[in-house]
Amino acid sequence: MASLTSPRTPRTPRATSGRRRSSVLLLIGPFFFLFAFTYLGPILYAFGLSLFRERFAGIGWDGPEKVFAGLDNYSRALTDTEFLTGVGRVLLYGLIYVPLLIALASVFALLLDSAVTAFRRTWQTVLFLPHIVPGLIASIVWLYLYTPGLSPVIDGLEVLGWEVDFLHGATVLFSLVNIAVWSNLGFNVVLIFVALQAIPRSTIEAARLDGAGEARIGLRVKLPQVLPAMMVATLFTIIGSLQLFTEPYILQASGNSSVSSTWTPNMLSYTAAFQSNDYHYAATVSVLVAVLAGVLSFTVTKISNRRALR
Amino acid sequence: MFPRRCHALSRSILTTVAAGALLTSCALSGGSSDDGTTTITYWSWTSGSQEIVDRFNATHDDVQVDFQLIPGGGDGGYSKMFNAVRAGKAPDIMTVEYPQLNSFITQDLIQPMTDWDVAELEDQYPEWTWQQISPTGEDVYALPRDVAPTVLFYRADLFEEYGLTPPETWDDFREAAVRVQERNPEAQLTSLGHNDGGLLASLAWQSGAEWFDTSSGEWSVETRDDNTQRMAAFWDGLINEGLVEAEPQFAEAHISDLKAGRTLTLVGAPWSAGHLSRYLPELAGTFDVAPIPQWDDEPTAGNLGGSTMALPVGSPNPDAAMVFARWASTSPDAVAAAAPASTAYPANINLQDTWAAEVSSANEWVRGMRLPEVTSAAAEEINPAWEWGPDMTESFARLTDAASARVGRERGLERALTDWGDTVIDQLRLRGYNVVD
Repeated sequence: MASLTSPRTPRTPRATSGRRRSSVLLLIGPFFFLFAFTYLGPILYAFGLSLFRERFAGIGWDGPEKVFAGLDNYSRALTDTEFLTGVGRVLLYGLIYVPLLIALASVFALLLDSAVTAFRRTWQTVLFLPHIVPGLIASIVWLYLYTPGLSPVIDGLEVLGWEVDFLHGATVLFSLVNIAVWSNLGFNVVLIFVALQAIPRSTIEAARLDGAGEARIGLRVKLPQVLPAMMVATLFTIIGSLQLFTEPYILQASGNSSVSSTWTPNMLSYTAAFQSNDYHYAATVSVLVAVLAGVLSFTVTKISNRRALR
Repeated sequence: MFPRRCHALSRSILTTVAAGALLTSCALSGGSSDDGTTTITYWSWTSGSQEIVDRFNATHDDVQVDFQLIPGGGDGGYSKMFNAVRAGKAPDIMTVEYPQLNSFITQDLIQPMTDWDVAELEDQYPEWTWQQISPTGEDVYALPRDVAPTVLFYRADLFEEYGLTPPETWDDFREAAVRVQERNPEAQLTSLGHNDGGLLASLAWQSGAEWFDTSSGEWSVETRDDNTQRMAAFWDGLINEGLVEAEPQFAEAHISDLKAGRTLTLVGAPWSAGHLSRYLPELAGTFDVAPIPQWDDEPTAGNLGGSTMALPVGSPNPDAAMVFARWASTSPDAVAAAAPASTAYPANINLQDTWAAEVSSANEWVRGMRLPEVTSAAAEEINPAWEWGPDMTESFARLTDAASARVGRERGLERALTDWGDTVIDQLRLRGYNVVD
């Protein structure tokens, strides 16, 4: 404590703590400023928008009237079959995509981590490469591979006597899961792989001395120790699934698929804002998606904390 | 010292940037300058716009136009206009297509042009365009630039090879579709752009349908009528029997089929010739154009596209903007300027001869085609009773959704159109419009 060792300095302990407080503020201030400005602000603004609506009357020649709607927009959304089926779709998509991605990422991370893997660096790069491709470009590339008449994949499958329609019906969901896994696998592998590298080697050696094989070490020794990393990966992926937009939007815009312009909640929000100029309803849908993401994140975090405590 | 200097430096940088921003915003907002010239901004995406603006600027001193290319209406252009008008940053004048005029009026985005004496121009335009730019029957909200009567483009060389003549009726069209497949199993007579709401509307329009109607003082929406349904059933039949493929128009697969002679015709409008010439330059001389096949004895055409020029609410220089709009809509010079870049047919009746002469001389691809005579005949056969709904950008998006989900199934388009009509009614009621049961 400077004030005790040098009485000549005029600073009192209070001044020091004031200085510390201001330096703490200086350090975390930018974060809170940005957080408020780019996150809290827009959410509050969207919530504000969602409480109003523009009402037309008669034929509509007299223009819209902005009226307070209270929670009308919310009751409209919660009875809107497009919104509800959209939510159902992203949940189903998440239900397929999240476990698949985390399982695959864990397997690849374990393979990379196990000593037997040759060309580790090469594999790491190969797995990570698709993640560098922007989602938009990835979707266009896959759209090409899904389009009959253009796709060598479909031609190849036809030669084998297998006719697949990647862009219609229930298959679309799997086509989208495929794009997402392709794009995001590498990132999640790295996430889990880094955690694996941090595991004390002694635990692995102990298991090996006890006669455990590589597979058993992977499942019983390594994975339990990287559970937090897997939970983080899961959390990000769940939130990402709820935000599903780019990939189905590209399929929809191609005009070749049964994906509609309101296929996911985000697409519904986009269409409401930019096709119908109904920003109030778009905001309502966005707020509901944010709430849903919040609830899901909270649940996942709770579950993972409980596990960590056990 | 250093921090202070740094501070001073950053302040001077900030000042410069701010001054620059001010200058830029001055430049953007245009307005009158000292020498008495008024510079206006014009937002459009239609081909030929740049050429028209260049010609206007070269021939005018008091008004100069700054043309700004924006995304196509349904692809974000209309959304941009909506936001700009609501934010008070509207351009001086902008392109709006016929289907969207009603939504621009109901959303208070464009203002009446009545004060600029446009009523005197009424007899220069086809009846149906005047009704669509003046839907309330009182004020005029836009000046028509081009119209797009539906016609049939066909591969004249392959028609001759397969022993076909351009089909006069839709029954003939069907027979021709069968003949084409007999002669060449790889080929098809045409493909249907099922995801294009405007195309489906033009086909229904030609069949005599009237999807929207305000004559009762409320909206009525009708897609279950016989005229809509015969059109839908016709295309369902062709598609389900494998005679015609449903595919997005001018997409990669469609272009490659046209190129290879696997797709022989295109239901289009005069502007389509410009598209075809850009995508298929090597096929110059192989295409010709015929009237759209008919349902009944009385020849009719639909309208597929076309655009108007509208004055946004908050237009900074409406007087100067109207000088330009009036010129672009009524001057033969504008038609001549656009001809090399666009084959769109002028709405103004007085300009149609100029167009006929210019389009063939300016566009090599079109030369030798019967485009002028077929177009001018078709332009007079458009059913004037057709009205558009109050929110066509959204309604078209929903029509695309409905058709994409159902096309190719048993009675797919028929059901898509009836479902769509119901959805539109629900949506309009949600927004507060009165809709007749």
